Amino acid sequence: MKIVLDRVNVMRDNFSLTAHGEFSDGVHLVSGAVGSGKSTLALAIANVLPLESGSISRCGIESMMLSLQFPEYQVTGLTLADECFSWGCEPAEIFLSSEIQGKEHQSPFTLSRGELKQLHLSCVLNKHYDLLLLDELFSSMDCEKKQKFCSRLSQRTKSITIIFTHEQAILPKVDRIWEIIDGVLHDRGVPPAAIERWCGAPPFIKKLVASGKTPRNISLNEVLEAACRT
Amino acid sequence: MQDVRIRIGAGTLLCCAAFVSLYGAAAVFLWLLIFTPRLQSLRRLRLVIGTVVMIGIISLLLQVINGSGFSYFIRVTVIILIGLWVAGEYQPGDFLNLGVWLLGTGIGFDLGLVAEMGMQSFASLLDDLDRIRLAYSLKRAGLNIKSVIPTGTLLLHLELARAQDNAELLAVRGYRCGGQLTPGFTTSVLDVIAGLSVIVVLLIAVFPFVNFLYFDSELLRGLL
Repeated sequence: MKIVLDRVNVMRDNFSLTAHGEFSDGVHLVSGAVGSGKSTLALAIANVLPLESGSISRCGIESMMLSLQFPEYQVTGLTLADECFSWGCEPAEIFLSSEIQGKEHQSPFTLSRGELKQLHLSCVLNKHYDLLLLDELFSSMDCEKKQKFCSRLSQRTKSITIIFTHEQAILPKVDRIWEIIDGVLHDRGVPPAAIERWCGAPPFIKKLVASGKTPRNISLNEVLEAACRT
Repeated sequence: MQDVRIRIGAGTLLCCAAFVSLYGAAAVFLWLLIFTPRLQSLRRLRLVIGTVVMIGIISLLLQVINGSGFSYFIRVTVIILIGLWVAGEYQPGDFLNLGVWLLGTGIGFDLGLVAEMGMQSFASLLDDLDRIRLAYSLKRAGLNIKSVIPTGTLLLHLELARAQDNAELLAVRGYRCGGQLTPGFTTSVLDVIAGLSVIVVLLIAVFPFVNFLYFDSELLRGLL
């Protein structure tokens, strides 16, 4: 499975984004500052935004899901149980993993945005998609939940998972790092070499790289291991 | 049309003219063809088509019941076109300027603010609808009759949440009632010509109507 972006150009109002590269099986991180065009790229790959020029080829991809930044925009059920069904999931297994048992008959809007995001991600990650696009998946979540979803993401090796985020603290183990700077998508390559080329890396990772302790990957465990390295 | 005073005034009078008679509706339609950007005002064609279809169904019922469906369809469609033109020409701040100019910095400011917030909500509502449509398509469900209630509930919830945020924001910023604003307008020669020509449209609309009333009263007198 792979997605090939061939000299893609997307326009959104006055903003222009250019992307060229190939996304294969594994977890990809697309980082960039707020307003850099991450959501625009996610929408373009999901075939929601029309391309100005270039093309996107999807090889071997039969199922795709885009998780939007704000979970309330993807709510279509009147109750939490309906919402789980709308994702094709059994409420019982979702409620076990998202810690909101006993609220099956409540409206999704009785939850806080963080809880709703948690439910939304539990439903999304519960299903297999050949291509999974996660736009700002860590927004509105506490550190504990971020860690929990990071470990779930690391298990997705037989599909393409692309994470679009400006998160600087807790990140999952990834197979490739990409970066959007000034409206252009840059391929930084495979970790650990990619970490040294990553301009928008979190400050503590940059500090580790500067002191010659480049972590093997960007997950918290690997960063801690590098920090404790003598 | 740049001047919101002329635009709203003309829009109101044109709506009356279109509603009064078929002659009026025809004259208003002609006015729209001459003085507006025509199809460019129709930003959301699907929404327009949906509305016209809805009016069509009501008109069909009226035609069957009392034979006035055709006239109703023409008149109301023209009124919808006026509404779309007024909404299409809207620029943020228009209603606030108009409210203060018309009724002062007290009630005028409040009414202008309400109208501005209404326009903002309408734009947000359309964006919400697009996102909901996207959500259904991603879930491979598609918007249909079954999804009308959840979609309506969702739209209502998002709108209420936004209204609460706006109310809190106004309260935090110390808003109680009224506000200071110096309204500013740009009036072009074309605005004035278009505004004055509305009088002609009104005359075309009202005269057959007056004749009808006169004829009707004569008939009544004869009968009595």
